[in-house]
Amino acid sequence: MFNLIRLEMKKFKFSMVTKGVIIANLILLASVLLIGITGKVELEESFASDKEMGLFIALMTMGTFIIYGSVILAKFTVSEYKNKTMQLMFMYPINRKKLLMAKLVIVYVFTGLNVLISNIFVMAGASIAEHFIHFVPGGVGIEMVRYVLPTVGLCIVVSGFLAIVPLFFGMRKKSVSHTIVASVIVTSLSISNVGEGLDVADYFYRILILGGIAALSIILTLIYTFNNIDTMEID
Amino acid sequence: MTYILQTHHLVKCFKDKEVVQDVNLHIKKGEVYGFLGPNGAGKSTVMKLIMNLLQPTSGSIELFGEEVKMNSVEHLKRVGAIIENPIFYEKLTAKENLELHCEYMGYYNLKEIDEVLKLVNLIEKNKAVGHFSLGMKQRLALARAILTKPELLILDEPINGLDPEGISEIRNLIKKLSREYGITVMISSHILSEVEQIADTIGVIQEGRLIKEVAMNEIHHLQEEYIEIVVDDVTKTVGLIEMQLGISALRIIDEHVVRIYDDSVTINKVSQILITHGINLESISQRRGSLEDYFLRLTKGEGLCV
Repeated sequence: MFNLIRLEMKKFKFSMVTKGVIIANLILLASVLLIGITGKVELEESFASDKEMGLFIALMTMGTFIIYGSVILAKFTVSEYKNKTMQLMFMYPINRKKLLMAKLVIVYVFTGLNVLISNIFVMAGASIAEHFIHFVPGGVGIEMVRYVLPTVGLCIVVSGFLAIVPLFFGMRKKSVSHTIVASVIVTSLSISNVGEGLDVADYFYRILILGGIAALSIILTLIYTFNNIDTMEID
Repeated sequence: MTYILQTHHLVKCFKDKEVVQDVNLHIKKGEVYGFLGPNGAGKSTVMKLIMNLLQPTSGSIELFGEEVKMNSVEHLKRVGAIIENPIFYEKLTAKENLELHCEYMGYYNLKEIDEVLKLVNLIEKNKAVGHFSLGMKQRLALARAILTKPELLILDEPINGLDPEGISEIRNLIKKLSREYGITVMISSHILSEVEQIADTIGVIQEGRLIKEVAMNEIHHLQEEYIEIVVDDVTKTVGLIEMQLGISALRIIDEHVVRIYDDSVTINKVSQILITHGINLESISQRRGSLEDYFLRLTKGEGLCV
């Protein structure tokens, strides 16, 4: 299994993705700072407290990497069908279930891991910057981390599932763009702002429910697919 | 007789259409099997069924003495194949594609890659496959198929898109693989001349049916030389030739045409006798039988004419 994962990454030149991830992290940090500084200039704080900033970062990073994960998944699966390379894969003496699992594991781990790394990077970066420019009333303290930790933890676990769900839509039409559009919709469902202010509990439960639905539908789909994948015909 | 690949009453339907009907293939170990048929006859479908890319509607496939089940993958280790168009990861180079292939096949002798590229005469191994021409891809596909030293090679129209020089190179390569390495080769084509020189056995498929499976050495005599005479009176001509020349290897094709299968007699001699006996001789010529005619007749459903 580990070997299959390694080969998938080699096949799609996964090392190129690192560059994109770094850029995404920098943009995330820059946008947090920009929002903070804009509030300072307009004399109306963008973030009411460090907690709010922390939650904002947690949601932004999750949204970003759900979409990023979906793009990679589309590349790994939809494009293999489109370019007919799936025919090639199915001619190898390898269990088809394992082939599929390898792809899903990569996307799940990639998404979760990046949500974690990105949270650390952006929160640390924003906190350090805040220390010098002061755009959060009351400054940033360890309280922020304690406040967002459960949500971030949940995000790390479920974002991978949410990144896989768009594949259901993408595979119907074997289209990369369908997959990406679906992932944008999934993302906006999970992190969009409804009503005034940001309340961590609201988001926690919303993400929990969405993540649960996603995980459940993935499991059901996998059971169905595993029953059929050996007789699946590639033409 | 050991068969490396057999199919038993193989049937494949797409919706209501029977694309493959009751096909019974018999491929012996070590031979080159030419799988011949016009476009759309079902050649690729049969090959896909063998490679487990499609599931038979009924019937079974026996590979290396074991029945192919829908979830069996182990036998694929021993098979190299090109099905339809050569497919690659176009952003990777030729060499990277082959390395990947080795790993998926569980074959770790990476030194073979250079060897095999040399064998198919492909020099630009560090160029992305996306920039390759069809001919180059075809060569690379062949390289990939033979890389892991399979026992059975399944080649679906492997000489498509090659120039004449390339065709003869590939033909020699297949001959070599079969003779020197003992690899069994199943090669499909819609052009007989492409396979008749290398095949040991030929299977002809048309409209999904295997209409003939014949060993080449059984039909080689069809390529014999003969003298064809076109006359007005066939009966009299036959009598004359038998009487005067003592030849009985004659075949009456129709009411005007007779063929003499005897190389001891010359055209001059025959024409002389016929003319002196007042036969109206329209034409006389030396010819060589062609397998093309034979198979053409087969595929037109006119039955055997040997």
